[in-house]
Amino acid sequence: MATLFYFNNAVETLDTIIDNSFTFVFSSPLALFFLSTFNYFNLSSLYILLNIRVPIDIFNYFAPLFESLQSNVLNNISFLSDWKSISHERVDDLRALYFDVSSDLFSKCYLDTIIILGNIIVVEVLAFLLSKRVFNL
Amino acid sequence: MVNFILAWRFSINGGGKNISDLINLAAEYIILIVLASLVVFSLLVEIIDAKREGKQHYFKIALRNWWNGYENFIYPLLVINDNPYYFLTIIGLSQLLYLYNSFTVPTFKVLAILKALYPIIFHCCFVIFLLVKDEAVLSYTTIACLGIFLMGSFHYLIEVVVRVVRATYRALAAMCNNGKNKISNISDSLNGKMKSHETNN
Repeated sequence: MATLFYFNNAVETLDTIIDNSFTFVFSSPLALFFLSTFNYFNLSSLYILLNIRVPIDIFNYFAPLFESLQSNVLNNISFLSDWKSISHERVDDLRALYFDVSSDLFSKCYLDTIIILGNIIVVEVLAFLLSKRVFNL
Repeated sequence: MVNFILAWRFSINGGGKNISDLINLAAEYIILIVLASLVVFSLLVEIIDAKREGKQHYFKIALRNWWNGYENFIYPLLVINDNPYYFLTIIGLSQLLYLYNSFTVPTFKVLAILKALYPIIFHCCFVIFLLVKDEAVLSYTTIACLGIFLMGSFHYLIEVVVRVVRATYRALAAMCNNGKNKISNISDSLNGKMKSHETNN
């Protein structure tokens, strides 16, 4: 019983450490360096939007991945945002309705786009400031 | 980026019923055009710079550097088209181009080729899902599809860990070297001063 208690504690601690490191990595300019890794998961999960009959195992595996990645990237790092949309959603595409993808600009996907673009801008500005051209001037 | 373009594509499929929706669509459209122009412009600048510096394979290097940007645009633009053949053909050809490009990588060639192969095999599985109706073949393809996805995930995650560890090690090594150099510089200057003092005496 005691072993199980310690095991659960260890798992919880490990989970917290992973969550915190994820928060740190994906909310800093470091995120840019892991963009290819993030892309791999994101683009692979997009295949379930294709208009073809996929096996149920594939759908069950990739649909939750797609939903978690597309709803809001920041949800994965425990960053919950409540942005009000400027317009009402008018989507008649069945796949969009099924996966709850919004058509509004000021919606779930807005904030993570800003974060990713902000990271890219920070890295570009740092690279420019640290480049030889600036020091040579 | 994928989320953003997907939202735009879904807006085209159903949005634009009133003035606020139209403003929303217009804003998304303008941002998309600006982003696409920036990506193309940066790619061209990189090619011109590399050409000016006389680097070989300059187009391949630029293409490799900007591949993530290209994928982020092309996947969401094609994926919700009702005809899946467009997506499967264009993405398949793009992935073959990337595989060909990965043969010119100067370092870690095997890993680069492997990283190009995972999405191709994954893509082929979906082509089989589209074309084949045999249940036995479909079940084997399902296993292959999930297996190759997991192998790719493992590869990418290991790469992240290795890159973080390598960067930390290099930073620490650089700091230690700087410290040693400073100490040796200080001791050298002290020794020099002492010798000059002795010779003066």
